[in-house]
Amino acid sequence: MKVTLRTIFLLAGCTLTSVAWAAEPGNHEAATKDDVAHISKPQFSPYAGRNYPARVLFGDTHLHTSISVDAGTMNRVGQEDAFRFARGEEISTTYGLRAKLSRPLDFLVISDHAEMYGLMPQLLSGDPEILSTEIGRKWYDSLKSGNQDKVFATAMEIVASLSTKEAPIKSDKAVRNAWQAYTALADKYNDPGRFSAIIGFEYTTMGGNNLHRNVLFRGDASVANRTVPYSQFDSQNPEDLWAFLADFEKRTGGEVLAIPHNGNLSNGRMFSVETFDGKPYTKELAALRARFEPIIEATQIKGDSEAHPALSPNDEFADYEKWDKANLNGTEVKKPEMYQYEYSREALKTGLLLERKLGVNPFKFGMIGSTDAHTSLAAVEEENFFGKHSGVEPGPHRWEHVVIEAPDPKYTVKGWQQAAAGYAGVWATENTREAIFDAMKRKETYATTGPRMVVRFFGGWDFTADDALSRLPAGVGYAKGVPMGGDLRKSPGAKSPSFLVAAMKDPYSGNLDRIQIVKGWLDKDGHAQEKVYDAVWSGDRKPDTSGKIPPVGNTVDITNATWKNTIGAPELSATWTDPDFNAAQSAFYYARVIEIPTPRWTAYEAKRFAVTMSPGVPMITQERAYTSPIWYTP
Amino acid sequence: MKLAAGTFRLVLLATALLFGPGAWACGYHDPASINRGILNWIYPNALYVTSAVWRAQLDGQLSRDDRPLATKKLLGYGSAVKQLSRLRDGLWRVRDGNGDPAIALLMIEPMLWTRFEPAHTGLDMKPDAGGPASNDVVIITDEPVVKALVDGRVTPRAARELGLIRIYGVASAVQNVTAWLDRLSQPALEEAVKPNG
Repeated sequence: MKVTLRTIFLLAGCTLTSVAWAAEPGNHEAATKDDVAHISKPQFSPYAGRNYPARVLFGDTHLHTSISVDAGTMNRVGQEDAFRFARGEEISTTYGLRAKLSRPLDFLVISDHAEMYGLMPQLLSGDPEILSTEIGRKWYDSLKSGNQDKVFATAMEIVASLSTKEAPIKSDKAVRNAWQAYTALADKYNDPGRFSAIIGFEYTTMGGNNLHRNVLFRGDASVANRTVPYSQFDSQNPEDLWAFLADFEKRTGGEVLAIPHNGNLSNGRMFSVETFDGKPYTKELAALRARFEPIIEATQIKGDSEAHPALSPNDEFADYEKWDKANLNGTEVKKPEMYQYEYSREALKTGLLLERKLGVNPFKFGMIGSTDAHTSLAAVEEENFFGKHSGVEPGPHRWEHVVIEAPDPKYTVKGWQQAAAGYAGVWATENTREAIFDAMKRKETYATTGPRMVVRFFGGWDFTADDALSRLPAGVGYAKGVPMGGDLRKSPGAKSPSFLVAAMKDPYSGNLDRIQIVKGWLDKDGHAQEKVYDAVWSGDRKPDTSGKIPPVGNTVDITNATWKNTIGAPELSATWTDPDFNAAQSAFYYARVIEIPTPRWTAYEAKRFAVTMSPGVPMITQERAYTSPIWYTP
Repeated sequence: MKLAAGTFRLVLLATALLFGPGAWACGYHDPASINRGILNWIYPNALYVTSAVWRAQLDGQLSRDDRPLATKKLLGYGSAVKQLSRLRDGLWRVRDGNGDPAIALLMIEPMLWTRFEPAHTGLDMKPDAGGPASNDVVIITDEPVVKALVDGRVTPRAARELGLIRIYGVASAVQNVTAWLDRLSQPALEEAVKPNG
């Protein structure tokens, strides 16, 4: 143990050394050369000299407000209140409810739709830029007519125009005004060290077969204002978005990234092995995607996209909050062959295949969760869930309200099908825009379905069982391996990779059932394979004859929407070594943390409103987290 | 300007035809919610009524109808019209007769607009009116509230204070309608102060 600690502090000291040379002599706010010489020795305080991310930051990278054209049809809560709510203040919702988070978030990206950015408030206020256009004047007159049917028809026309190829209103000035008002607001609410208001927007291409991306800026308004949101009116082809982002970076020196979401609703397009135009991927295009899409949103209100039972039949946890019957708007029924191009785990496997073929892995992504709420409220706690859009804010009947009305009622999505998910966990060195962005770029992130569990995941060649006993797994982890999102190269000798994984429960949520390691690899024939290993679990359960750990049990009292933490464990940690490793085969590994069963939001709602929901409505959930993978490349 | 009954469905159909399948974006494909949501544009905070109603129901101030939404959609129109007719009769009984304004009342859950227009012989009632006419005073409320009002279980004043009724229009006309509604509760109050037996 002493040796391990010495190693950690030596490594920490080395890093500090490089930072410290810039410090002026006598400046005691930064380490001097002499200080570093001192620090490089083990200190009494195990935290002295620590320079790695020490506290996970939780946030939402995908929130819409009344600025988004679709949300603006009913949502009355603007961007300022969205920031206030995220940082822990109490606000009024569109339906007049007082709302507050259990705890503030650390960061927020308001990612309003790029398409006709800011139109609704401008239209309603009679903005001269909008009224100077023919369609803007027509819509304005209709909206101000006071006639419900006219207003409704206009609202439907406006929402529908989001997905048309041509922008019905072409006013660069109007978009720029709204964008710059937003970026200024984000700067106002950005409070380094306490709350990061990261600037972003959503590129909303292919409305039905969802290929949407949230674009995030590393910098402040002065950087973001050097463009306006890139929309599907510019191009419906995401490859053009990447080219735009590359050009932006080249032109401005700024940095941007894009986060795809809802592969599950893309009907086989999000992680296709072909380009947008149906041609084979090129190395250059694969590299461009990998550069700008380091992470994906794997879980959110419109379903969970980590894995699918049809693709992972041996994974008993794969069937979780699935929206898998049709595309986004229910206009095209899902076919089984589409799943493989929609789900994260399968895409990670496909990435290995493409890497073998192209030399570059376009799907080398980490994972986060976010809400995609259109209510201005990043509120996805099960007991504090405010829904997908303002039309399904809390109420006795929202569970049976329509959320997405499909042409065929079989594919209409009802309120109860909403998942109260998710948030992004980010291991940033500090709570600033830049540090969070940098952590996303290096994929040091994980997805949670709502609870703020703390998850560490490191891969290396030398982790021992004793490493999991450390109260500072990160110290050991960074010293001996790479964190989530990292790479392992070339197996030294005949060693198998080992992984240090540790998780601590959210104090507001359920105990932990287990931590699993999900492995994907290319076998000797070049076929992608996967296997889920139970790495550590609560209690004294033993694997059954099939090698599976039995279920943890269930303490949920559905009637009262309560549970007991008498099962599960508040924290779990382990060192896990791949028992099936083949040094010649490329692979990825990620950790999945499963909570014990707790009441789903529907159970809270049934209790609160004293309603009886249909028998098929799930009342229990097993919240979870997915870390970004660690890749092994021979 | 009012369109025929069922216009909402027609408009929806027309919109779908106009823009075709796959036209809408980002999981916002719920025309009924949009139809309700746009009330906010015309009548600020109109949607607050919805929350106020379920809160009053949870507090026992309003009755609840626990039938599934689909059932209520199928069978609810008749009972709604029955309550509206009782309201019409009540309003006619306590009319001022001195330039009472026309009223458009919206039951917000079913999005059912009903117009009450003073005439010589009574108050003309047009359920499923499509929307208000210009110069109508608009009342946003919901069916359980109308039922409670006509049953005398909630006074109009209490309904307003609880946010169960919101009234929109020209200030003087809103005042008139507010006073008109308040007179509804007077007979009930008079009944209440009568000595038993």
